[in-house]
Amino acid sequence: MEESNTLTLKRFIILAVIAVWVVFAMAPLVWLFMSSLKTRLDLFSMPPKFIFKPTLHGYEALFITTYADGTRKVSEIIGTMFNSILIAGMGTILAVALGTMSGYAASRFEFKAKGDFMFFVLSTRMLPAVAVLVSFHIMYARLGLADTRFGMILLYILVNIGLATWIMKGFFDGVPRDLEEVALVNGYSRLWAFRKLVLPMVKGGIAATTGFCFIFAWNEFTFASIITTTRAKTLPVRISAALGKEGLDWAMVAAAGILLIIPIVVLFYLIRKHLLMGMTFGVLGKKE
Amino acid sequence: MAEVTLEGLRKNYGNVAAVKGLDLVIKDQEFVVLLGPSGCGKTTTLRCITGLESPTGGRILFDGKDVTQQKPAERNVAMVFQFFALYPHLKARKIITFPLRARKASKKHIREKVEWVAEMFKLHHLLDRYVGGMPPGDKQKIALARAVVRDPNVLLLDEPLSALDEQYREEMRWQLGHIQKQLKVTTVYVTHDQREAMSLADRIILMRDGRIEQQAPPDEIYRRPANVFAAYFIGSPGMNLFPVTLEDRDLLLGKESRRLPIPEEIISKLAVTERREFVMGIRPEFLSIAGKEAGEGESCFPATIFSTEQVGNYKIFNFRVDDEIYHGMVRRKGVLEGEGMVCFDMAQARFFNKESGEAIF
Repeated sequence: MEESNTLTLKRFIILAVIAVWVVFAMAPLVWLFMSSLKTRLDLFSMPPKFIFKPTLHGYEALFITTYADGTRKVSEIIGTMFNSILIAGMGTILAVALGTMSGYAASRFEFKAKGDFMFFVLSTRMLPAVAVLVSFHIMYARLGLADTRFGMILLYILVNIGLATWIMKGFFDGVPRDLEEVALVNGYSRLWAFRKLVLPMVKGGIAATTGFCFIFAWNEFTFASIITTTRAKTLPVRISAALGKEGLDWAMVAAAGILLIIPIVVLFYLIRKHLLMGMTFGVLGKKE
Repeated sequence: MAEVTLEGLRKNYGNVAAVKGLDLVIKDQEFVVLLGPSGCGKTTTLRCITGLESPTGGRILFDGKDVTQQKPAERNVAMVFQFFALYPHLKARKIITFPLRARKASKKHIREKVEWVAEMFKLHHLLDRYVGGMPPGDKQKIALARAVVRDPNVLLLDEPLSALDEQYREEMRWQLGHIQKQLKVTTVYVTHDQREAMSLADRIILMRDGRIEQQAPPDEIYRRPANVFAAYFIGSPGMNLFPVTLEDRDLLLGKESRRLPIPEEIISKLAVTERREFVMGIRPEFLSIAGKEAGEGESCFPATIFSTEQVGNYKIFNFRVDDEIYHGMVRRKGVLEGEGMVCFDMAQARFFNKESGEAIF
């Protein structure tokens, strides 16, 4: 009886802590969502209103531009959103694909100056964006990559590949070598063993890496704000620009915030099954 | 089936030399055991033969043909791994046919082979089960079946029994030896367990520090170790190694110079070497206890037996000379601890050069 009491108490404490944490983490999001549905009047009322008549005005302002002569057109934010999805998506997919392969190589093969190489790979991630911004700006201008989606994809591959290589190396280190060696001895190629045996075992790792890389690429602001101007402009840049240009339509800004969150939520919903496994495996799986 | 030749095989990992110039011929159908302490280069040697490691220097020949640059798949070798390396999400049948499917063998051939190998290892009842939940013994059977199913040139085993329970290990050891003789496949077996080596090998290759210390059939390596390392490593417990000094046709034992009466002919043989200091090796089973008084002409000296342990029918007794602990093995009941005479069967003693450790006779 006593034991079950302490158990319930323990459970209760755990749940309470989680509940507090959830409130703490979710409150700003809930606030953001409510704000995106409020009228200007409701937004600034004191005390804050939790019950109000929702309006889609914020979203309308975000997606539809009204000109001085009264004509209404679909806002260029649609194009910006497409840019963001394409650039962050392709940048992530390619960085994870390349990082997976280089992580495998780093885990399995010995080569000259491997330690130095791996440190260099990691150092690409340590560098603050601001430090290399100017050189990138000049380089991109000369190469004709400035304000191109291709250039941005390239940039995000570069920024993410180091992280992807290191995370994936950790996962590959956790896969026993015997499994592929059996295949090699038995007449299969290394590539076959990599694809059919090793890759399925690091699915969780790939999912986790994809998550990390995508968040970074999706949110990235510093590079995008300098290198893109119109054609390749991404959402974070566009939204920050909106702040200045059209005065402070807070409902619209909140709507843009929601828009920015949606793809991340969708991505993590899709990979959630692999994620927990992936995140613990990277830590615990190392022992083997 | 093939004869395997290693010529000056070397393998470095960075600055560390794992194998330092190995010359070895493994005869067709021979069962060879690479034995040695961890880090002696035995597994590296095995992996070089497999082709999973490429040597830093030297050549590997199968039946006189140089395979040094060949990939593992091209060598037609089979390997059994310490932790089985099975795919838990597959059924045993799939795993066993894995090498055959790589070769695009016909369905009929695959069926026949599976039947053959299942019969040999008595694993019909396991074929359609997933290996995930099987006990280690069954897993190892399946790993072995996978290895031999395609008639490899050479069968390579890397500590295949070390992940099994003691009880199952004995059974598998016996079965393994039996199957190797049936298949007549050239076999290289790596282990650090000298009992496995003794019971399985046609020839033991004893390695230390990247080199071969001795290669000989088990019986010979046991009776006539080539050096003090072989003497001590083989046997449980290993050979007793006493520092001895020859003085005026007397043999003195240890620092305290206890005089040990020994036969005249041994004294003569030692005197011929014109050395004074030797290492005398003698296996525990050739030691006995003679109570307070030793008989005339027996090689005994007084010692204090400070502990004993029972091993099956035998009793191991421990005593000290100087600060070293030595062991004897007797088949006797009763209390052995206390003062007594420890006697040597000098016909079984072996003498080593004190500096080089090499055997003299």
